Amino acid sequence: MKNSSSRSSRGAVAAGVFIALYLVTYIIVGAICMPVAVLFLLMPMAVALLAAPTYHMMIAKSHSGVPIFIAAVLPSIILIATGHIPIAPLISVPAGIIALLIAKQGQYRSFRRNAVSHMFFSWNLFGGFVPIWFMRDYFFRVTEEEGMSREFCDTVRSMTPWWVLPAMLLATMAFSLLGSLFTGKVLNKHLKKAGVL
Amino acid sequence: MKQSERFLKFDPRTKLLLLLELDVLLFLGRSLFYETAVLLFCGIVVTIGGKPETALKYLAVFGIMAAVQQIADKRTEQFFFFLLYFLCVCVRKLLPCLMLGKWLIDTTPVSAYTAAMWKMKLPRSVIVTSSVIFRCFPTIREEWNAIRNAMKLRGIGISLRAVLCSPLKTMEYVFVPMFISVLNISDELAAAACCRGLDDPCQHTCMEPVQFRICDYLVTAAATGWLAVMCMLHLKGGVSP
Repeated sequence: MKNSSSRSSRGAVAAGVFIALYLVTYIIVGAICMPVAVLFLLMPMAVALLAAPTYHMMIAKSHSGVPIFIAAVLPSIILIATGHIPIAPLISVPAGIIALLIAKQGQYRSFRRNAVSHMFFSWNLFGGFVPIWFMRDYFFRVTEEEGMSREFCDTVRSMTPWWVLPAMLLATMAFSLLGSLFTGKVLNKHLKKAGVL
Repeated sequence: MKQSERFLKFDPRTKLLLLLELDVLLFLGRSLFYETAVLLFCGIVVTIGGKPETALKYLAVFGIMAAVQQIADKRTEQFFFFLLYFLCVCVRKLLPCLMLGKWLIDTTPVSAYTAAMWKMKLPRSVIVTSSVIFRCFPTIREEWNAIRNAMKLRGIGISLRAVLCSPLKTMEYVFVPMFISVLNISDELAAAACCRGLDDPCQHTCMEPVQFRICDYLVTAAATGWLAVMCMLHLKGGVSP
């Protein structure tokens, strides 16, 4: 009892550290991508690719679903705190729950399940993008009022016909898979050698 | 009178609620006057909550950002000035969040935060994980600086060219040392936490009394009332200030 409790506490601490690392990745990629329209639309893919190793390490060290859910929801809280239209949790909460359930099927130990779980987890950032299609006028009005230029808004508007949303969702899954493959092929080798995994 | 007795002590739950409410409030209005009012409210709370120097620093940054934004506003057709304008607006909008976040971290010991979370009956894994997350950022920055220096010593730089020409290698060079140092940190943190009895299944106690006081009720009522009025104005389609 005491041993399993101690192990879960260690896992929870490790998960906290990896969630912090995930947030750092998200904030850095976000800060780089935000001012340029094309990069703005590529942001979920970049985060999916770069955050995949952190995600796998987080699950490998915690073997729990709680950190998956927290990591999925925190970026949407940051979006709300930074003035985004407050519908982000409507996407991030289901994405977090789906990711959690998929990872749980493999007892958080199956790399394949975790990779599929990360593919759905990566949709958590779409709460910031969905208003482009579903609250189009309001989104561009608010974006312009919050300091983005008219050119930025016009470029994003012209680059986002309806089919871009499913394309972005699929591309995010593909980049997440690439990130997971990178984790499996390259990082596992080094981290196993170092005795970390 | 002790330095700490001159200031009011707020419950960690009040601080978290204020952080969320005031950030949402800031974005419900558009004018510079309204933003200034929200930031002044944050400044007053942070000052009476024990961090007047933080409040002053952030208010000064707000003033500078507002001034630079006014200058850059007339030349936004040039990319540099657009970027400057964009940065000023973004940073200015984040200031209440940063000010209250810094106040929350500086004035809340982990033990008080954890005790407040126990009182909210949250699961232990959520409490432990959330108490670690926001304290790790400075450590991650230190580790990142050390890794970058070590990479420079070995002639490996992180540049746009390196990222574009060999992205996998660059990712490998960054992630492997970062993960190993982060795992060492988490092991040390976990060992320290276990020594303090974090994994003890019995009910936890705290030396510091964690409870709502009059100041908590007053400040929360003011912020919640303000937020309710702004939400009603928005729902009725009234002019946002």
